[in-house]
Amino acid sequence: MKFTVLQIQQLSFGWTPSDCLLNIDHLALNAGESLFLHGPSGSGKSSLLGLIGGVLLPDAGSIEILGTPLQSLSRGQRDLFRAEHIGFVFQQFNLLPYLDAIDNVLLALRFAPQRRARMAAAHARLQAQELLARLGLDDQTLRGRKAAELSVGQQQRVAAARALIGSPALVIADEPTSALDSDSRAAFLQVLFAECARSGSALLFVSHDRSLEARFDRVLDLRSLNQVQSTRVSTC
Amino acid sequence: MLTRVALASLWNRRLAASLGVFTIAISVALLLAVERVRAQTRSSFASTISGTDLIVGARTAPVQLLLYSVFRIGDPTQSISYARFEEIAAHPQVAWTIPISLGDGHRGYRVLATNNDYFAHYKYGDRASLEFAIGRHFDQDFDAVLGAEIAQKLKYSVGDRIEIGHGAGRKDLALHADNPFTIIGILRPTGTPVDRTLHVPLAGLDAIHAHFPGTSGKSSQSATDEEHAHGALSAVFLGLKNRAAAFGIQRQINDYPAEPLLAILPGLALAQLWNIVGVGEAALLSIAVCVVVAGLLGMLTSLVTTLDQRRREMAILRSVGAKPRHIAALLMVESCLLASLGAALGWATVSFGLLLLAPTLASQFGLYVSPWQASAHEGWLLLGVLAGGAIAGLIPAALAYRRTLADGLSMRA
Repeated sequence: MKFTVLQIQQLSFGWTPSDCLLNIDHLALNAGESLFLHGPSGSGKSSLLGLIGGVLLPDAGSIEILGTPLQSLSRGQRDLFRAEHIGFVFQQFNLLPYLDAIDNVLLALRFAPQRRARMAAAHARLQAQELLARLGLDDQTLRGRKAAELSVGQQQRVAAARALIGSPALVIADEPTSALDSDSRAAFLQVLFAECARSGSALLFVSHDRSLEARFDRVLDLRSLNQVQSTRVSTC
Repeated sequence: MLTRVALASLWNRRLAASLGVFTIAISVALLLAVERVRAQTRSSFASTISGTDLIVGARTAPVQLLLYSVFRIGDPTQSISYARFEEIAAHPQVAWTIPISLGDGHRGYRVLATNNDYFAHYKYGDRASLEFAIGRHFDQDFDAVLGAEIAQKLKYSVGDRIEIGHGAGRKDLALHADNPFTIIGILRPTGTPVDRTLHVPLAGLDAIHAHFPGTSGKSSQSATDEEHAHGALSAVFLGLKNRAAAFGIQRQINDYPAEPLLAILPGLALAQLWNIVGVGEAALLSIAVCVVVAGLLGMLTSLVTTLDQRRREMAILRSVGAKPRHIAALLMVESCLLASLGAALGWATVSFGLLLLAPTLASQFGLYVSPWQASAHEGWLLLGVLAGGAIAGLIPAALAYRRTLADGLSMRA
């Protein structure tokens, strides 16, 4: 069952009306699909992720997630929608340093009642533990340790668990491996793919490190996708 | 969960947070200490005399009459003749009288000459009578009854013989020697100036003054002696058969044709006096309030400074779906928590501090402050501190709210 998770049409966005940053005619992502999106810094990656996350609103065009156009939702509804359907993994420092790994994972359910309801509430903690175990972090390693005491590689795996818990439709990873060495990078990608496949989540992976792209279903260059490119100053 | 996140976040910054709490605690302790001493001074002040309907003295300022007759502060400049006292006592509305004569001292304490009606009718606090801890009231002309504090401080007991002299200085100007008084009774503590008063019979005082008509060449002293000798009084406390008559009798006494007299209603004069003292009291309280505001501003400063370091924390919370108002609530919870902890710690500090200091305050300054007696006003002050904490929290909350909207999910730190 390959339904469309993310669909972007005729999107344009700029921080000011005179400075157009993104202009994307069409982009779609299906359930279970993995997309590698690359581009140099300043090419509008963060803005695109902000738009998909519903934190920013496009100047024109539409972004639909699971058939729901984000621009039709209020700001609060977009926050709720993000909590329910999207998992985020950032470059680094993904965790609240003062909570332990399990609590960091469970944070994803705090603002998402449906996602929480999808797993029996009593089992959330157990499932978080299992998920962490599959990502290579057993209870022994994590017990009684604050997130800040984990290695960077361990922290990123906890962050992945937080993005994946409750099987959201879309997982967005923003340069999640750039702080890792090459060995842990490969290991991280492997578990990320395995868990996305397991939960049927679509994966949108943004990076400038093209050595990783071979494993993805599709590879896109944001510069070719974005019609605003060479001339930075243009009108939307 | 949000409260748990706030708690965990605070715990993570516990050194800075506890400094903030201590700042608030100290300022709150100061505020509460001022308030307690103020409230209890006021109530002990108002309870110095009760049951007396009128105080009569020679014409002077009402507050001055109150000060020397009740508080033993200052000296009477004029006196009332014994004949006038007898006329007033004979008034059909007068139930009882206490004549008093002041002016002598004993080792820094005031001597009050009176008669046994004093022990029968003088009341303080909530209509409490004077009680003897040991001994009894006057029997002979040269008996003396001590207030609790004198007995304790000067280590006197019943049977000791003492002398009295002019003035209340530590070195009494002139001793009326050879006529020592014998201590026959010691009163229980009252928490009023009675504790610091040495009581002797009027007759005894008259006798020593008569015995030494001109103790020295100083004219003022001999004049006082002469007045004493004639049985002149400093003031008279009056109890009426019907309290409602107090205003009428006050007017009659004030209009007395033969001698310029002044009658005051103790309650009114106390209120008048408190109005004078109250200015200083209000000033102290406003300083304490300013210190609390400074404490809250200190907390505000540290919250606002940490906002920058906590941008990442905010972005993570936003990414998992926290709304901007959740972020704002997080900061509100934090500042309210800090303010509550500070207020609680300040309250504990002032209570235990007063517990330790209460004996010293009582013995050194005559301030009777109970460490556990919290006034309703105090509750309002504490509520005010909490409200101040909440208001202070609005600022970082609003800043964080705006910032989370602008930052979105970006992780710039």
